[in-house]
Amino acid sequence: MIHAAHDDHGHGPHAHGDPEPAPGESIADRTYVPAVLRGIKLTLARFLQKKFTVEYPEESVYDASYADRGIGASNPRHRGEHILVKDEQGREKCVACLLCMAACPALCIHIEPEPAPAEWTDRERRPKVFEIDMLRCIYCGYCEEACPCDAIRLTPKFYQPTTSRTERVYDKQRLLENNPDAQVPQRPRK
Amino acid sequence: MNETLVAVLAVLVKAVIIVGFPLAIVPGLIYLERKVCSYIQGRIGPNRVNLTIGHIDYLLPPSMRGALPVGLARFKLIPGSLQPLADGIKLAFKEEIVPAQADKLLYFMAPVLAFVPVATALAFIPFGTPTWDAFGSGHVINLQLASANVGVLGLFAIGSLGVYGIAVGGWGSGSKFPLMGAVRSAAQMISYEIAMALALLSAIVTAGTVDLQAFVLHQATTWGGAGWLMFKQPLAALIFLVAMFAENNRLPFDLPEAEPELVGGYHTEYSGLKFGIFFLGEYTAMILMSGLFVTMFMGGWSLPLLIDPYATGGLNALLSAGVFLAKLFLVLGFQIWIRWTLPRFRYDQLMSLGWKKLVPLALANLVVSAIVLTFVS
Amino acid sequence: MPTLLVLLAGAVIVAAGIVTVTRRNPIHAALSMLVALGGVALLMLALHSTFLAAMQVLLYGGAIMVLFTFVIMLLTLREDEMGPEPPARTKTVAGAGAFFVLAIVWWAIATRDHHDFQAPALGGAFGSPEHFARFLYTDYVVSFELVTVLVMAAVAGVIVLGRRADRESLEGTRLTQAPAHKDPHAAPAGRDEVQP
Repeated sequence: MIHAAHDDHGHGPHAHGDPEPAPGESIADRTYVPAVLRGIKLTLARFLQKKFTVEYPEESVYDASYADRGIGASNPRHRGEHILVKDEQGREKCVACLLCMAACPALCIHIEPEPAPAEWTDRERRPKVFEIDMLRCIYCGYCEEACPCDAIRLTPKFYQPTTSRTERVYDKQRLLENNPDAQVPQRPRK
Repeated sequence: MNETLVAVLAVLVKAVIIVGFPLAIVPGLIYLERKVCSYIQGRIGPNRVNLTIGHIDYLLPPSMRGALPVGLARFKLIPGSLQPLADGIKLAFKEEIVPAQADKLLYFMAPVLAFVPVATALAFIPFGTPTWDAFGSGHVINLQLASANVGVLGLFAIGSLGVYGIAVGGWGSGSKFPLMGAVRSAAQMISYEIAMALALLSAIVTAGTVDLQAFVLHQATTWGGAGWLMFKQPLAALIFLVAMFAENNRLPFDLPEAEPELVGGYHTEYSGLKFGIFFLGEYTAMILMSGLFVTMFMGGWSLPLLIDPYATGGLNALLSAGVFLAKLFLVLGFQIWIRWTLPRFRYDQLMSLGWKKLVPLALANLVVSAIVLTFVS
Repeated sequence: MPTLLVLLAGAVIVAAGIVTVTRRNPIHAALSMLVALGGVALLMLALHSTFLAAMQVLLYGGAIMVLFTFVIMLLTLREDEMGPEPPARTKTVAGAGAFFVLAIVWWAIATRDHHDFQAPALGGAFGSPEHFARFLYTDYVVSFELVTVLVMAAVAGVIVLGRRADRESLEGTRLTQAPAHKDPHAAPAGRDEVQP
């Protein structure tokens, strides 16, 4: 009898003296009809509810205006496209030390240094060419960690699609002007 | 025009309609299937391949392009409506792969066997009033291609041959998963054909005829036009509906092509247009079964207050065809809806539902209806 | 027109029948048999028996032949399992025997005085389900009921045979019980194959 009691326990709270059968055991349940009706009701509700689809590239998950759908507003710690940081005078902070280039595991950073202008008294060098191949980049953030001047940073910006590979190689000017807030659609929505 | 010529012409036109109908409707069905599926799953579904008049703002000088509202400049009739066409083109340009182990003859024959009987059986379904006076010329035309006195039996007989397409395809592929799918399909279709036929018998006993056109007339003339057999024989209608899903190999009974177990089932080894024809056959079977359900249980082309079953007018005939189409799409939509709602049955559940529940229920229903009809009327 | 149909149906039946008995591949044979049965349905159609034709296709085509193919597919015979090809002499004798039977039937029909046979005038409802049912349940009700008894007996027999096979003759062949009958001191199975 101990075994029997133990077995009964497995059938849930209704097992002891309660005439209500376990789920799936009543006659109505065994005809499948109530379950099917419940399912139909559920899918009808799903059919009518708002859709979650983000129509990339017209829309973006980083577009805050879609916050009502439970999306939008990216994680601020997301590692996306790089920017070159400017100082108070609008110059790039980078001193072309090539540490980021050395730290990069994907070898996507290409820097050609040149002597800084004479009036820039705080540094000796600056980058003449600063290119990041966004297709090679693995967005690891090592360049950000390696930089002694806080000159390169990864932003949460999710990159936008392009029609050619060369467009994915960002030069210095583009990196300087890369606006992390510009997560706007490229084409008008339908 | 003499009578024979008109009759031959009418048959030709009706035949073109019947054959063209599935070819015209199936793309729409596929679109519906994909859209309903994605809406139920919280997605938007195909909306990139559009029927559009083009970017008409590009005709304007560049300075004026912004002036047109976007909705007009990028006008789309139904978003994604050309997706089935894109699917078809993709299938047509796919490489045809014939497995080395395949039985070539059977392998090539199977898709045809899957489509032709089902499309032929469509000829029995009445899609409009039986007494259309063709353009007021005095020639009465029955809007039904094959008005044989065996009616539903003939439809059932020819339609039941569709299982050979699946069985032969599974065998001819020379591969084990298609074979398992084919074996399952044969077992499943035989099992559910019995329940379906018994449910149909209840309906036949109630209406007192097997002629499908007479079926519709019976439903249109009793109970003030609402004598639909789904009200007179609700249990038979329910059993037929369930068996219909099994006959069409659709979820929740799509065991012949259960992806997790059988890769793709009987058409695993098929690609390109041959797969496309299997696809077409499957959807045509869906149309056939839905058409049969509409005709036998939902009053066919009749609708109380709107359609006079004995009128000869052209508008009345056109309306009846429209009503039939609307009802047909209602049932088709229901099938699609169910497909994306219910999970697949296990094989033993499928068999026990068919043999231990539906067959005895249908038999009991038949006996009870026969007794009631004998003693009541 | 009906004569043409009859001739066409006859040609289909004969051709498909020959293919059925000459194919080695069981599925090919079964499908040709299906075509032959379809030819019979066509013959019935040509004789205005629409109900019989529908039943022929429904029962033989849609049910019985499906079961045949189902069983064949379950067995999945390979080429070497089909047994040896019969020798040419056997084939010749079989062919001659078949031809002999055909010749006798032909002779019986040809020598019969066919002028006394008058085809009955057919009503419009001939061959319809109602017409068929009226005959079945009035003139031929006794034979019909006897056939149902026969079918019932067959069903009962199949069930009895099936149950007995499950309970008794297959009992000892279960894999789980097989080791009990073996000599416990015998070498483990498969050991001989492993050692050279």
